[in-house]
Amino acid sequence: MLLADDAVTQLIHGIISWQFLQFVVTFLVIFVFVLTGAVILVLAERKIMAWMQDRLGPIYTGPWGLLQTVADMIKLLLKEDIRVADSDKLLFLLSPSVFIAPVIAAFAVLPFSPYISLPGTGLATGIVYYVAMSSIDVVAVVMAGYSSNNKYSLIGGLRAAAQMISYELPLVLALVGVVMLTSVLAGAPGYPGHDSIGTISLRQIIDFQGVWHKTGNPVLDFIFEGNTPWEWFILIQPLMLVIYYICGLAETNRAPFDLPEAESELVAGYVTEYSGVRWAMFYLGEYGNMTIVSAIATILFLGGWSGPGVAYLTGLNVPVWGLVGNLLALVYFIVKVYLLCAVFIWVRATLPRLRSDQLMRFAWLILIPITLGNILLTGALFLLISGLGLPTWVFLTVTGVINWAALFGFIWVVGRATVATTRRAQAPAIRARLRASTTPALPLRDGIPARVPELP
Amino acid sequence: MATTLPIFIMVALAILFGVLVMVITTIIGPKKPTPEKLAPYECGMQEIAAPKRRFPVKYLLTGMLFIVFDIEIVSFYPLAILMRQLKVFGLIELLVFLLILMVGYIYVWRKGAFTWE
Repeated sequence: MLLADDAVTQLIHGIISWQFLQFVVTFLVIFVFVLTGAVILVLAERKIMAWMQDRLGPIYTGPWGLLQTVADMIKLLLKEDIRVADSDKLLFLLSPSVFIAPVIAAFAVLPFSPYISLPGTGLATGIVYYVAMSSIDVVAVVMAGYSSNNKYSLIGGLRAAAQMISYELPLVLALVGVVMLTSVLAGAPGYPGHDSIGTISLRQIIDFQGVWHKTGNPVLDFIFEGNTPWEWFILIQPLMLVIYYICGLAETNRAPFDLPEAESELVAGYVTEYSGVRWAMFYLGEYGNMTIVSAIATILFLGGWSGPGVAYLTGLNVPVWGLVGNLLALVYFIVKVYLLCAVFIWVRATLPRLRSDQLMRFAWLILIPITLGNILLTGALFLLISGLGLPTWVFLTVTGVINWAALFGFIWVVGRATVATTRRAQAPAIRARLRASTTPALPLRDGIPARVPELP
Repeated sequence: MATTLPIFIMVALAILFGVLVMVITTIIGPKKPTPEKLAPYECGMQEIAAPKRRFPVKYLLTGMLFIVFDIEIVSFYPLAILMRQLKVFGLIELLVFLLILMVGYIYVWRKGAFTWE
């Protein structure tokens, strides 16, 4: 009797505690963010693509077509749930759930603002938790492709699986660079951390990107406390951000890596046989993944929720200003995330789709060696500079300069490689056309015409 | 245990959401299945061959390579976290590790595992 009383009191204390309130607030923010995020992104994608292609996009539903995706969602909810004949029923029915659940679960580690993040130390494993959750999606994709009893689904599912696991490796390796930076900076003057141990907690990585010593000048403190853009990791490791972003594109099966759902050859890839809400779950998951990739990039490289006023207002210890500061942080975070999502859309409108051989070679032969080299370089530079007894900012500057140079080298190499493989692939066709045509032969370079002859 | 509870609750809620949506979709919406509607999509043609057929071994090979490399890559994280403490020992450790990784990598590359088509 006494024991039961005790348990009840503990339960009540647990429910009305501040931590529980924090959990509920965070939970609501996450769910609203996931669900509205997809709706907003679909509309934004259609509008931005239309703008880039000189079209109007959706205009009839609601003012300026703003309600288009809401209408689409209602339509999808009321659609018939078709279960294709001779399919593997259990796998077929389960795979949309398996696809959507890890996406929502992965949002749990995102710190939205100083207050809006899940309480407890479960967040300490941030990056590893995110990577683990994002790799579960591969299982769902293979399940969907295999169980659909359709050639297009099977090929699409296999392609998606091969692509997602290949790009997972450079994605994980690119993040190791950031963890190494936190380890090098931990305990250095002005930086958080103790015992010289780095961190994989997303929350602490944000703290590592805001180092401002209080000057006493309220205006400067207001702007720069917790918000020092010159300490953002994008300036120190821009190449890793670009590689992480490319891998993010491939992980979410977005253009130019959308081979699994290449509509001109595979109808819709692994979602061919899905309809109604199950189909919607796949798309919700895809856009959720897109948001998560952008959010992780924001946190690791762009300072997370830091912005003018956030740390100052939350540091005042006045509830009202703390609330304002948290809302401000939420706004900064969401703006940064959606700016990165806009880059996803921009890339889709700009680049053509890759061939599957280019895709695999790019991941295994270009991205993995570069990311491994970056890890080695960061470690070696740290030892060299700390061995010479130079301060931390020298290390940051040198690493930054080398990384920026490597970024431009990377762009040059990828450009050359693309041109070379394309020329090699097109050479037989060009040669055949040359032989067939009566026009005088063009000057050859390595057996390939230097200029493509114009059509009559 | 109590400190990791929020994450477990979150994962449980995410799974619940996935299951709930699937239950809802079986309840609402019309149900008028016909043999044509349930046939696998084949661009309006009659299906010629069953889709459950053999597929290129390349996919399996990529999967196996992934498992090997992924396990090795995860071991970078402890090293990266402790980089400042390990100093020279850490770098030598990293070099040895990379060397062993590279032997396998170059072998697989020369065997043509990364060449598609």
